[in-house]
Amino acid sequence: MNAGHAVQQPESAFSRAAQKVLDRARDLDSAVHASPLPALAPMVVVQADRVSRLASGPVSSHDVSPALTRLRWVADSARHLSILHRDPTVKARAALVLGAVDHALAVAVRIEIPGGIPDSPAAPVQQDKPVPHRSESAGASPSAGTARKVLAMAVQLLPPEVRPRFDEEFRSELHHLALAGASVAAQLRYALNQINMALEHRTELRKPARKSARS
Amino acid sequence: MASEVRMTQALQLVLQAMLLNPTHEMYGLQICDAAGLPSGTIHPILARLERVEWLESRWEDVDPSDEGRPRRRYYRLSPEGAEKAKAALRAASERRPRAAWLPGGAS
Repeated sequence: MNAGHAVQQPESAFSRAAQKVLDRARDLDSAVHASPLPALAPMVVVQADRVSRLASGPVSSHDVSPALTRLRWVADSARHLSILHRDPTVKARAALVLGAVDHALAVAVRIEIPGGIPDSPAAPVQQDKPVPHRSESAGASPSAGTARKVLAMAVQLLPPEVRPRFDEEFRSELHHLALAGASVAAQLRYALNQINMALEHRTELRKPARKSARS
Repeated sequence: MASEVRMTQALQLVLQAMLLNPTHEMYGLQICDAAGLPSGTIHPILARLERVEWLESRWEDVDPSDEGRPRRRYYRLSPEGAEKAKAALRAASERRPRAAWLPGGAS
């Protein structure tokens, strides 16, 4: 075997994984005939196609983030279609899409996410001191390092005064996901969800609290 | 009467899940599971409910350095929040026409 082929590059593996997601999405689309959400299955194909295009060229870490967001959308939509349809073929094909997305996510985490992501997100705030990360980084936590880094990014998007709280809360949830046996891809999905929700979360946190409970 | 919070579909799922046992404390992942929402998607909803004081939260009572893990944040409905949540869910369900393709929907 050619030595050049012995080591599989994450980028080419990601391209193949994305192509598989697209193939599975097309299979799912062809199985969905009378959908209550008629535009959903074709949209799954469109999004999977965009992931595939993103993954087909030279993939930089810059391309990974939008690809992951679209993969998450594909997975959510496949899940919705699986719930909405009683047809076992649709359910089976949706499951195959989810499997392909999981694999693509697992491959994607091997492509480096931009450097400079802090392991420790927030400037300390005295009144709600976060738990140090050392016990996790020393190996006590079973959670995936990339997911922790993505979570740290999500925390950075929140108002500074609440970062310590949500840093600990998110890490705690990730820790429990990992303990429950969640795959690396599932942990990454959790962290990406936090990123996706961060701006909405930030908006909610910035709204003024109710002055007092009214009777 | 208009609700203090925007009653999105996801927020209604969270309230329904928490109203199954209003005094029971749950952490974020449990609430996601109970509401059938993807993990990591409910913190904006929890923040909204805390802001209007329908929800109370507290840290798990453990020492993280002893446990070797971060503390969980537990949430539960406040007594007032539980009442308001029930009323808001009732109002939302009266406003919402059921889709024909859902069980019990209009034919």
